[in-house]
Amino acid sequence: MTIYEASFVPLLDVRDLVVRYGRIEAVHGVSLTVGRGEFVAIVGPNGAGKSTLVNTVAGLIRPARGTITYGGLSIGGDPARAIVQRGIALVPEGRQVFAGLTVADNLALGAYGRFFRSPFLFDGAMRFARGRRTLQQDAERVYTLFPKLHTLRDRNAGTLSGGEQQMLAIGRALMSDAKLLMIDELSLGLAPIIVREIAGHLQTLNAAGLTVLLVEQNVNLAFSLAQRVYVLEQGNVRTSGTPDELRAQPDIRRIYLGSPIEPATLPATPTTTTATMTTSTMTAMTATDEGAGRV
Amino acid sequence: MFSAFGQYLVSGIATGSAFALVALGFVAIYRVTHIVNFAQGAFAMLGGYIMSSMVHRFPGPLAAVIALVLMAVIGVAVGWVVIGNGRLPIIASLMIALGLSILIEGLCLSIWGDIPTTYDGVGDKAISLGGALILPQQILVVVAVAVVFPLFQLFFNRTYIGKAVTACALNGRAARLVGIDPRTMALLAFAVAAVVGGLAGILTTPLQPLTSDVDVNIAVNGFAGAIVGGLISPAGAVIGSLILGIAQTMMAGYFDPSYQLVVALLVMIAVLVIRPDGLWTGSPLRRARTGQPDISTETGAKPA
Repeated sequence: MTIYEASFVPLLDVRDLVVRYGRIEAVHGVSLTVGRGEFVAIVGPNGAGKSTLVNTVAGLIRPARGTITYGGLSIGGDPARAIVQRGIALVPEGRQVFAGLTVADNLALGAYGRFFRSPFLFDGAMRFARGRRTLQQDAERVYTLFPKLHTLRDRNAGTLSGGEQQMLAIGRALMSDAKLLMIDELSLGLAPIIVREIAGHLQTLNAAGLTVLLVEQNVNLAFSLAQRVYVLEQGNVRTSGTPDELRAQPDIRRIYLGSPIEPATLPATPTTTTATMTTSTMTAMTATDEGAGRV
Repeated sequence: MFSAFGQYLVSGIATGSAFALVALGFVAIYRVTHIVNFAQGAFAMLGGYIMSSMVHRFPGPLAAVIALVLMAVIGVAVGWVVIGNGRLPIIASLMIALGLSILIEGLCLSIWGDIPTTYDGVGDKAISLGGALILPQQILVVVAVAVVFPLFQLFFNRTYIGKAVTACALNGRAARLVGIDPRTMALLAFAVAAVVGGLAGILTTPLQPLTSDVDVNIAVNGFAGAIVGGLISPAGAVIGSLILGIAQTMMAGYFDPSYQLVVALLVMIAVLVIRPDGLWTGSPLRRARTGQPDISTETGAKPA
């Protein structure tokens, strides 16, 4: 643990986390911290357990062992709805917008957890009836951030482009009143120019006080955005530190930053992971680790 | 000959409307859970039986409201057992639903006996409709569908909770991430299904006395109607049910009444062979949905 890590009380504190899918262990004792207002990135090859880690924090998967603490409270093993109510929102891999519902409906449903806090719908319906106006105000705030969504607000979310869907997925997550925003694969399947635009918005949000935990295949992008980076390999934290500290490590340089070409300018050849990755989760799940060194 | 056709058509629409209510119940549950609720016929039967006990104590409309409230409670209870902890395989839920419907049959037999049960409807004087005779009770069934179907659509497409249910059907994982509890939504679907199914039973019992084995017939007819809409489209389910009702009445009128159920089975087989996804695919769900819905509240191993 670096001095930097020890010197602050983290907002999110994951300790010795073990996650299993049946008999297969995907995360073997990972510890990481995210400070209030920090922008932290997790990088690593496919299959390193990055998505599993954030999915577990989000409550989609139950940890087998270890603790997850958020703002001093233990949240490990809590259901997803309890997690989002506490202020942790996940923008899942592949965006996962509600295709078939409009953009406005997608945003409105992002706030569901704020109103429906218990499984008893009546209670939530009352809170919704009282809080309707704040819903509209919060949607306006998202539209201010992503003006494009405002013009698309009555469109079926399934018909949006990848970049627009990513904006919508981030907007939907923000609607939950998130204090900690986790994003799984921001750049996956998106044109570099769109990635840069959305990354800019994330930096704006972070500057305004939002804590961000970004899972990213594109190491250069992650290093340019984050204040601290964790390198995950095969379910373990290989190393962590500020981007400058990591750049100074020869093996990290060689494996992750080996390409002298900026990933944004790489041609869309079949060997370029970033450019050819589709939005489907299947690709990420079945792809091998071989492309990881190139991004 | 023509007047006979008109008569069969009118009767068929009334019969089909009753199927439509049951079919909407199948759709409500299947959309969210991918479970074909084998207890849907039992919901209709129970609705009729409960009404038969209420109708002598309270005025008709009040008795119906009480019966429907009870049905909502029963629906949640059945759903709670069928869904289990939310991690059951679909096939297990199907078996539980089937078992529960047999249990409900047995309970009905022991509570209401084996003598066919009925009560008076809204009037027994047939009204002439362009030469075709129709009972006021039959008109009531058609009106019920004309009211329930738009309400059903309004609920799932316009209200916040309804949209949350739809979101759950569209993408269970994303629904969980925004704080929607898929299990609550599934229970809500069961309540809705029990109410519309119960309404079918309440309205049709004066036309056709109840016995405790009628649920299978009701379920087969409702399912055959719903499968036309691929089990996910409410509009498809209503259209399918009306077509099925008319086809059955025609079959009974022109050929032999004992082949009525055969028509339902033929429709079912034909749809499943030709277009397993349903003939009427107006719903965005069909195009948007991928894989099984995620109704579990958590996956993976429990904490040690």
